[in-house]
Amino acid sequence: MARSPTTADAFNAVAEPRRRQILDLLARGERSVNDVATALGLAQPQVSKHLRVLREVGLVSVRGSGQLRLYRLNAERLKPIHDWVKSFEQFWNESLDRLDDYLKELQKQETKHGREE
Amino acid sequence: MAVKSEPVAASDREIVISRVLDAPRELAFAAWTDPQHVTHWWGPRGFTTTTSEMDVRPGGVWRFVMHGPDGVDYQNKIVYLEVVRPERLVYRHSGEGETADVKFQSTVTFDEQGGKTRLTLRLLFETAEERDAVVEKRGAIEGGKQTLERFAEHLADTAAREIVSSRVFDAPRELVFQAFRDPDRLARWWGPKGFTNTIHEFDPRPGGAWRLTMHGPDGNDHLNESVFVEVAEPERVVFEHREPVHRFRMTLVFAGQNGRTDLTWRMLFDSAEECARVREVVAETNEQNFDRLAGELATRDPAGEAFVISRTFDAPRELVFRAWTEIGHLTRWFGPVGFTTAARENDLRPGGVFHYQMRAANGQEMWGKWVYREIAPPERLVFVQSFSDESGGTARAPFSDTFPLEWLSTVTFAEHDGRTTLTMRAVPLSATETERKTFVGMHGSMQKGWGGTLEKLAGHLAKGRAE
Repeated sequence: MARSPTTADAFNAVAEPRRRQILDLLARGERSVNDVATALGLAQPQVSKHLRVLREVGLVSVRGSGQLRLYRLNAERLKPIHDWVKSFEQFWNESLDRLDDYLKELQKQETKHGREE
Repeated sequence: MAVKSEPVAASDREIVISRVLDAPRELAFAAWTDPQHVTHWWGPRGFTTTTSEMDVRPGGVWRFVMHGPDGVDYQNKIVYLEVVRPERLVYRHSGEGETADVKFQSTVTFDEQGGKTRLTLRLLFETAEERDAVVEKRGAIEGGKQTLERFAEHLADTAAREIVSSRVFDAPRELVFQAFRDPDRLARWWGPKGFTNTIHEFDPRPGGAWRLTMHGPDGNDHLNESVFVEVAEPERVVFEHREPVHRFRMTLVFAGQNGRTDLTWRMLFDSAEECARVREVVAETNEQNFDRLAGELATRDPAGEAFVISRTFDAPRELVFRAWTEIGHLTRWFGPVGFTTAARENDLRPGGVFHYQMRAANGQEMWGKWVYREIAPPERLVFVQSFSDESGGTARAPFSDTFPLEWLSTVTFAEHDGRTTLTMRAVPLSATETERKTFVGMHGSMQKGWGGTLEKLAGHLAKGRAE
């Protein structure tokens, strides 16, 4: 039996920049594969491949058949990613702010000791 | 106005009329294809025009009524065959009802001539007889010349009152449009260099209000009030800017092709005098504004990565690397504001662990750990990060059970001119079945998640320089 997609699979799916671009576009509304390809200047088979991955992790669903298949974003699936990214960014921004201050302090002390010698 | 070197008809089926216009061709093309412009000049003198629909692209239709000075209405239909902005239009023109016998193909070309435009109108009929009939019965040549005169007058009037700026952006127009449409993003780039924005109200619908305060670099605040006239995603926004000082109608046109966007801004003032007063300054601030939009689009560059933070420090690489790896340094900066970090050791080898506790002033505790995969001094660290517990096990984030259990962090240190650029990339690791969840949440916009740290960097560096 195929493994069900996990949260981490969705995270990994969106680590790919083209897929993020596709999701940005679908956030505006449903599109067919051809519409996505035209709007983003990509080849249709490439778009199809990305959409398949996005479907597998539940970020995108499709309705209709044949030429009229329309893909749409399952926005609620993005919330965990959004939450984690926000948290990740805040944690590291603050840590790196502190590192910046700390490095300045370190270098000031080293200069002082240099002068004292 | 004398017309030099007028083009000649290629055949007896053709009427050719030409004129040099004292306006750039972008404006001329826009005035030929925008219903708000067209109503001011289309047709011979004495005629007025009402448009019921206008869709300027191959296959699109422009349906309009010309009201004659004799009180008679003439139905018209134009079907566009070719649209090449800003140089060429080809369309098939047919009358309806009364004027159904009038059929011809028009080719309109706009040739750039040093800031002016040579406009040439070629009307091609099916037979010489039809051409002659139209010239005699309907005064087509005279009518065409009058139309072009009215067009020239309209352009002169508009050009004197309008400031036009444009730029090509390397992003599809849906995304460029979104950079305007999303007030959180708009606030980040709207305005000249050095300004920041607080948006109080943003209702992008006809009649909707847009109110924002622009904070100038000199410390002065400017309250701006506008009303939207038209919002057609992803191609066009029109709003009336009311305050402060100037009143103008601003039109933003997003023309897209193959993943790039040709963005044109037009600001139409009430009078030529007012426009002349601000023209030079506004042309420059528009360019600065385009620079800022380009910067905003770049931070969302899909070629960038999802979970990346980058920061440059005014310190040599060896020192930064030591700050990351020596336990005496590491605990002094690592962790969010308001927390103290404690750790017994940093076991710096593949498989080794940095196990730490973070404690807030209120006593709240969190544990975490790094399990190293790769260490390459002074340029690279790779480790698996996760929350932890007192005994050093892997634990869930205390405040969310949808967070990934573990993520792989790659930290690189690159030195240039004594400054070190640190880049941190994180990718959640494929996890076990325990990750599976159903997620219930708000309908959220994708764009809030990506990047966004680079502007903080710029602000941080500026802060650093000021010290």
